[in-house]
Amino acid sequence: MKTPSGKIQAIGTASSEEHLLVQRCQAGEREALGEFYRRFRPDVARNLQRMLGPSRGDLEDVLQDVFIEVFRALQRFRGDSKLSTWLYRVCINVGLQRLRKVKRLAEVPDERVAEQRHDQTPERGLDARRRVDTIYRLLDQLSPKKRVVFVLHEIEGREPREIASLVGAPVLTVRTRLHYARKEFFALAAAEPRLDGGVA
Amino acid sequence: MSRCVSPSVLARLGTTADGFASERRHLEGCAACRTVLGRVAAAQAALVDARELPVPEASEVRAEATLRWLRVPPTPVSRRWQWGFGFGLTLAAAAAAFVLVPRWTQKQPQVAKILVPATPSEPALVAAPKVLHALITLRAGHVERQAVGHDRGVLDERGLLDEGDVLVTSAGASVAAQWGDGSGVLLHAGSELHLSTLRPDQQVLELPSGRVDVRVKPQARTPGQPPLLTVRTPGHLVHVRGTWFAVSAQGLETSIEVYEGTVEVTERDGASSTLLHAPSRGVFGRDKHAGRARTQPMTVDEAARLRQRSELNLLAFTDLSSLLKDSGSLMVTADAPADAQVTVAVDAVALGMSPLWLRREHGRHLIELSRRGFDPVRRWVTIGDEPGDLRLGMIRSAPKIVEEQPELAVIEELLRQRRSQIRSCYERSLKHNPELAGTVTLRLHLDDSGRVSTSAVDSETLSEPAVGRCLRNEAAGWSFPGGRNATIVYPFVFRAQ
Repeated sequence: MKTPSGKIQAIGTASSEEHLLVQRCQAGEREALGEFYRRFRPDVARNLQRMLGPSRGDLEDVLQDVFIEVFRALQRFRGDSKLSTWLYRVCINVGLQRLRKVKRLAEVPDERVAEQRHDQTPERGLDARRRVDTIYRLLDQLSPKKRVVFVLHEIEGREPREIASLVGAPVLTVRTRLHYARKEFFALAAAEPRLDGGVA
Repeated sequence: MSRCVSPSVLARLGTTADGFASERRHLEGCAACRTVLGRVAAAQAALVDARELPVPEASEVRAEATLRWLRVPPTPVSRRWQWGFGFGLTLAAAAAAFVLVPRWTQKQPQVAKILVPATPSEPALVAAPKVLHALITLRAGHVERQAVGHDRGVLDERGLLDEGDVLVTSAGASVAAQWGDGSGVLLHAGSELHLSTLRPDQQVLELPSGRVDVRVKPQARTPGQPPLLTVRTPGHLVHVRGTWFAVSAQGLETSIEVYEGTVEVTERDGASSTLLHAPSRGVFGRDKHAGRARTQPMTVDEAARLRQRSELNLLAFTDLSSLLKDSGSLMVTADAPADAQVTVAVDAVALGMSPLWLRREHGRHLIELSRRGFDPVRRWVTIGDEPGDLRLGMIRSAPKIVEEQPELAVIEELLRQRRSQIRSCYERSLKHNPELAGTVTLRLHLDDSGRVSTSAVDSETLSEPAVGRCLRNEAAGWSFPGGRNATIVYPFVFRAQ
C-alpha cells in the first residue's frame, strides 16, 4: 500500500472524523482548510522543532512549507494510512529538504521557550535549554539522513521498524544509520566542553 | 591500564546497571573517561529535555495571513498552466493541456504557496481618516523633499512633512522626523523614502533604496487589524508594532537589524515570512533558492553600537502644536574642512555629523563635538524661540606619550655588557688619583625606541667630574629593549681594589 509520495507504507487507517475533514479539504472547502491548519499546526510544529532544533529562526518558514506541501498533496490522499502518520512523513521529507539545503539557516534566540518551563527553577531551565541548544549544534554536524533517524529514535523514542516505515528505508538500513549516528553523536558530545557541569 | 572506553559504549553503560564490568573498572581509574561519561550523560539528559520542549506558538501575523489567505478567492492561473505551455511543443500536447487545466483548477483548492496575499497590508480605510504630520528633528547635509503635486526641492526643516511626501538624502546627509510619542524615522545617506501612509492607526513607508532606522512606540493591537507600521522595500514587507529597527534596501535584497521588539519580514509576493526577535539581523534575498533568509543574533555590544548610530533625536511628544511651541532649532557647525568627520552629540547622545540642524526642547543643552585627533569641545547652549547658530573651533590633541620602563634584568644585562667601557672611565681618572672612590648616579631618558636620548649626572660623590662626563658620553649610545619614553636613574659605585 503506498502513500501519495509513493515511498512509504501506511501504518494505520484514518479515523472517520479525519476522513471527513480530508474530504472537505479535497472538495475545496475553505473553512475545512482553516480547521485542518489549526488542528494539526501544534503537532507539525512540535515534530519540526524536534527534528530541526528549538533555536532556528526559520521554523515558521518550514512549517509553512509543510502545509503548502500537505495542501498540495491532500488531493491524492486516499485515507490508506492514518492522517497523522501521513502528515508526519511530509514533515520528515520537508525537514530533510531543509536540512540538506542549509544547516542552521538562522539562529535567532527564542527566549520564550525557556520562559515557558514552569516546572523548573529559572537556573535549571536555562541550563537545560543551553544543553538542548548544544546537542542540536552537534546534530548539525551529522548528515541529514542520520540525523533524522537519530532524532526519531533518541528523542521521539520510536523503534527502527517504525522509523523504517516513516522514512521509507529498509529496517537494516535504519539500524545501520542509527548505529553510525549514535557513534558520531556521542563522539562529538565527548569532545564538547559545553556539556560539562553535570546534569541539573 | 586498559584502553579508554568509547563514548557510544559509555552512553550504553550509563543506562544500565548490568554488564560492562571491565569498562566500569577502567572508569574508576581514568579521570578522562569520567569526564567523557559526564558529557555523554549531559547529552542524554538534553535529548530527554528536547522531547519535552513546548510547542512553539503560532506567529500571530502568520496565522492571520493564513486565515486571510483562506478568504481569498482561488486564482485561476496555476502552475499547471505554465507547465502546460512548457510542454506545449506540439499542438496536440498544448491542446491536451488546455483541456486538462481548467478541469484541474476547478477541482483543486488553491494550493497555498501564497499564504499571505500579494499586498496584505494595503491600507483599506473606509472612514475619512485623520492624517498625521511629521516634524523634522534633525537634518545633516543636502536633503530634498517632494510633496504631492509639487516639484522636488531642498528640504525646509522648519516645515512639516505630510502623507505622500518623498525624502531623498545625498551622500553624507541624513534626516530624522517624528510623528508621535516615541515614533519616527531616521533616513541615512543616499536613501529615498516615501511616506505613503501617515495616519494614527497605520503608517506605511516605502524604501526603494538606502537605509532607514525606525522607532515605533509599543502599542496594544487587536487581532485582525493591519500592522501599525509597515516598511516596503522592492522585495519585502516589514511589519512592526512596538520596536526599534533598521531596514536597508539594495535592489531586491532587504537587510534588517532589530534592536528592540520583533518585526516580521514578508516577501512582497507573500511567498514566506520570517520573525526576527531583537537583538538580531537578517538579510533577505528575493529568490528563495538563493538563500532567502540569512538571520543571526547580534551581540549586546554590537546592538548597543548600532543603536548609537540609530538615534532619532525623538522629542517629548504630546501633540504637534505644543511640541512646535515648546521647542526651538539650533544649527551646529564645526570650524573644520568640509570633508572632516566631526560628530555632534547633544546631551551626551551622538546625533550625526557636523554641520547639523536639530530641533530640541527649550532650555539648556550640552553640545559636544568630537573628531579623531582633536580635543573634544563641549558647550552649554540655551535653545529658545529664535533659531540658534553655534560655530565651534577645535584644537588638535597633543600626541599621547606612552611610557614603558625597561625591566631591571634588561638594564643589568646591558650594563654587564658595557662593563669594560664603564670601568675604563673610572680607571682613566684613577691613574691621577689612586685613592679615587665613590658613586656617580646617572639619569637617562629613553626615546620612543628605547634609545638614550639625553643623559645627566644626577649626583656624584667622586672628586673627579671627568668620570661622570665619560659615563654620560658612553651612555649616549645605549639602547634598552622594551623601554619607551622612560627615565632610568642608576648609581655606579667605584672603589679601587
